[in-house]
Amino acid sequence: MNRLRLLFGLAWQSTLANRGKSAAIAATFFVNAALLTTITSIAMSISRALETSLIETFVGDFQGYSSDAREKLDILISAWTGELRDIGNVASFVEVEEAAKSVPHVIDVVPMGTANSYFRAPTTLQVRARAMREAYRSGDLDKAAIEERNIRFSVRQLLERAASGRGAFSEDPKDDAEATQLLKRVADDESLWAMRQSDPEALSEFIDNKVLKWAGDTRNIRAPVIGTDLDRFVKGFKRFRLVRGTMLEPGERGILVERGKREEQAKHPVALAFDGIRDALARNGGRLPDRVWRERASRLAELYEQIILQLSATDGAELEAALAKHDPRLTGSLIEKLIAFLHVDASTFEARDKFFFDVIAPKIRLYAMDVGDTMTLTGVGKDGSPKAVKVKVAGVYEFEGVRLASHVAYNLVDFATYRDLVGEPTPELDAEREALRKEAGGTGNDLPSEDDMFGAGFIVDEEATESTHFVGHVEETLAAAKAARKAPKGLSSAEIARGLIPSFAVLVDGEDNRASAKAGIEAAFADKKLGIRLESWRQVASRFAVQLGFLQMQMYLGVVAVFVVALIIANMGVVIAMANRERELGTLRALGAAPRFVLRLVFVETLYLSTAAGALGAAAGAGIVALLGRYGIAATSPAMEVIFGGPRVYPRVSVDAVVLAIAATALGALLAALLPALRASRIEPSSALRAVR
Amino acid sequence: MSAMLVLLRLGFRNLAQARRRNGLLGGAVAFTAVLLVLSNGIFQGVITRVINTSAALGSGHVHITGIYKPKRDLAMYRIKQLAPVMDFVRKNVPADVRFSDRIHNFTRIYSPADMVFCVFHYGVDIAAEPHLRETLQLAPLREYTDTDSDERVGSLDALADNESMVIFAEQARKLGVRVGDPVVLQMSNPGGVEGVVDAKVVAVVRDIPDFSHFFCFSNIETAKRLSSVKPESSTIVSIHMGDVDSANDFAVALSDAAVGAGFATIPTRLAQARQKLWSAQEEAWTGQRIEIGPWNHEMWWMDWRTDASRLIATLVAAALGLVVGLGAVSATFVSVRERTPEIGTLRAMGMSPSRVVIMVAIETLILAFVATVAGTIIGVIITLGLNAAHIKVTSETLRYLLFDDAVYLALTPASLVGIVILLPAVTLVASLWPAFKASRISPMAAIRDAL
Repeated sequence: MNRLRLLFGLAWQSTLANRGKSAAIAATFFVNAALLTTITSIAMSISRALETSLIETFVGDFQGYSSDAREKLDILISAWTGELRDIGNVASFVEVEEAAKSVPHVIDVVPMGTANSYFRAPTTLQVRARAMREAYRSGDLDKAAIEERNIRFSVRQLLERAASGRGAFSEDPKDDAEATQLLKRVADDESLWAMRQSDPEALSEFIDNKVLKWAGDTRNIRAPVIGTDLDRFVKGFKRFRLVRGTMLEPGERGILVERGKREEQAKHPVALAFDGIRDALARNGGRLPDRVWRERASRLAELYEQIILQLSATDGAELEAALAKHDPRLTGSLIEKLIAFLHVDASTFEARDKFFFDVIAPKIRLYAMDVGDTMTLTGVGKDGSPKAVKVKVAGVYEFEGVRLASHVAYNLVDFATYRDLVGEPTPELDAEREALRKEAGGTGNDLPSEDDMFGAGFIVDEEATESTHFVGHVEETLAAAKAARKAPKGLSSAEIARGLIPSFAVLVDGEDNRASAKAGIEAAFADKKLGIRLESWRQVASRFAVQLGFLQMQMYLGVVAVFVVALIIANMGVVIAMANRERELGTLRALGAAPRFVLRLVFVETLYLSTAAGALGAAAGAGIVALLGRYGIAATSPAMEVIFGGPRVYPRVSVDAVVLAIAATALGALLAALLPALRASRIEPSSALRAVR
Repeated sequence: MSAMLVLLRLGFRNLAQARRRNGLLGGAVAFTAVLLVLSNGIFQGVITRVINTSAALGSGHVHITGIYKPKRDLAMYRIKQLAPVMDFVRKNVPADVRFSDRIHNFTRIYSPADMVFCVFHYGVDIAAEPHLRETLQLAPLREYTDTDSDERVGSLDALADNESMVIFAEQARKLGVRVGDPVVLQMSNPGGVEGVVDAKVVAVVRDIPDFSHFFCFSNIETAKRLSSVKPESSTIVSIHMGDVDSANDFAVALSDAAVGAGFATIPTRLAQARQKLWSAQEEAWTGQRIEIGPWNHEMWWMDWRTDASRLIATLVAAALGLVVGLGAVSATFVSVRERTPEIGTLRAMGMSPSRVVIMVAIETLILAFVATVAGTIIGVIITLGLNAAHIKVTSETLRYLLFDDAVYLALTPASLVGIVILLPAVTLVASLWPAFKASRISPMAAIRDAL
């Protein structure tokens, strides 16, 4: 005991006495520990963020699907690339659920399926034409007059665009001339509008069939969906929060839009462009290169029509006056003023950004999908044919505490809608649909009526050339209307469970119980011969799990390289320090210290240094991580956004990383000191005398 | 001049005298140089592979994509008149740069068994695309059939034939087709016209991570027929550069030249292909515009791999530099301490403090430079050895990580020169603090120390 006390005491004295040399070696240990803590904490935080963004949102602790599936389940693929994987269907979800729930720690089993689809927002003229028609039908002539004025205002803007050479109606001169003539009639021919008295239906028909196809503030929005039993989904995924609208009742059809996706994709394009410039400025310290300003401004200015066409005649006049007041340099017509306004640069951006959101945004529709809207989702079914389904936007949701990467976020739809969208061509579904049809009392074999086709929120999907104009969309609309007729309501939980389900999420009560729950569920499935494959997030999101591995491997490679060099530098430091202490160590030997004592002395000194410097370094590393955690590390690309579990990852200090850094530094230090310590232990007492001489 | 020679001579002599201490620091610097060459080689190797594969499968290192709007809200990929665009490229790219046009569309491939969606269906002139020819490898039968056969059937050259198709092994597995089997290609053109073409699989190629799921290739005329593209039109011109790092700058320069040549352009950006069309539809213009952009603005999902590799390579280099710098501080302090009498004597003989700083710095610089050069040479030899050994990677994960079947480390003159300049520079900067301390040693202190 005394010997130990002497050893530690002497090592302490020696460390203090050689402060200069000790400090240089300690600095190496400090940097090493700081880097280890920082990099390991960041790597762990990224892993954790991705895991949370998947497990606690769509994936659950496990995903199960048929073991006979022809392809592997990739839960994010529909949102990411738009693919539809053929994973078949679970043979009997009722039995699967029963078996899984018999296992301890299993909280819930949520059926689901993914699909890619997109939503084409209606043009403003389409909305106005429909409102005018309804006003005529209901006899609300004041409202009809307002819509009439608005339509004529929009048409005049379109004519001005074409006349000023900013965009022809068609590249085909014949079509262009025809469109110009038609629209001029709409703008100025009072005899046309006199039809409101004699034949308002014919007037509406004329507007619908001849005019709407030339109005083009249309938008396409990607809308990948997960079809699920929303009741179970909400109970199972605890982070789910409805932020707007109302929850779908059991058996009700509809869509819940993911908040981030709506924010990034359904927002008005001009608002998105302003947001984009603001974000870019924030990322680049308030400055952008001239080229970037030019490119951003030119895109922004090309979007003027997205504003103009949404304005009512009154709002148009007000905006024209407000623009002139905002900046006297903005002159000319409303279009010219607006284009000049949107040509932002470093000096005008801040004021115009504010003006847009304060003055213009209230006059236009800021989001293309809003609660209460009925929208047509269009996608490609499992058989490759186009599918279209009409759904009502019931609400906007988010996962609390998780900001998903918009490229892999899904909107949620009821299961009946999902099945219509992917078009399961199976006898079972046909039978199910037939039963529902009978229950609903529909005839099921008639063509849709006008109301079916032109119901609330109907979207005239104008694609293309004259010869095919409208045809493609009519087919889609017919499909949607037919589906709506066949399955007028959603499905209850029991009906969903009895139907075809591609996959399901299993939720477990705690991370620590995952392994035992998985073993239990697999045994239960095997026992009942259910033919189910159960996979973790790493398997069902393997693309991103491997990419995370790639990122982490690079980070750890870097850590190893730094560690090795730090080891060598530390070794160099100890060697030099020992060489300078030959007299001191020789004297110790002359006083009777055994070689083993000297060896231990050097080790204990190194341990003192490495532990203290390592602890300080780890603390500094923790400080760096905490700082990064406050501001976050921004993802620089869509894929990185997914891996980061959102647009930014907020690193958290990991206790494991701190312990690892201190332990690795101490171990490395002992390794670095091994050879110099052995050399020091071999110093002869006579060397002390030689050194003195 | 003569004073500098004296300092250099002194430096060499001092380095030779303290062999052990200098040997240790030199060894550490040399080892760091080796590590830097290797780590940079790995990261740069991955970056080069990612970029070249993306460029070969996609539309080159730089692409010119035509977006045509026949109507205000209808956009399609189309270069209506290819000839002027090709003339422009010919005039503006170096003679040794290859370029060719391609057809890009979104196609569904049907077999009797199944359907796959090919988001990137490229119609190519295989004779004009040696990069693609080199990147695609015929897959052995075992990779897409139930046999264990290593036989590779089919031919990429057959892509020159009309109605020919090349697909990846995973697509062949899903479709249940082999080389020689018929498939049906179908696409919904933006105009609403359904294009349908019968084709024959002439080759099944090995899977490439991140691509093989949704890439496929057909003969260019077949793709034109499928997309209703006229003979004088195309969709993309792909340009293949020798120097992958110059793609961004070249795209910017070419874009400026295009504006100068009277082409209407769209600012390039990183986005999904369909999203770019949708964005164009939101804008008010009609007619023809072109987008000139680097590879990553088309292969947007691969961008992060190069970004992450560059970022981590930089961080590793910075961390190594920091640690070596600390080592240099430590070693120089010890050196100065040991040489107190000598420095004091030099000061007593009239050497100015600034000369002392220069002397110490020169010593460190000589040591660091020699060690870095030696380390770099060793690193280059190891790199060449590893590349020559062509170490095969069998693990799928490693294959994905390295983006290749074999370990490949890239050697770029710029990075080697960077190491040879930066590492001694870091060491030199690190030695300045002890050097300034040395310059403050007074002759009296030196005498006291010697006694």
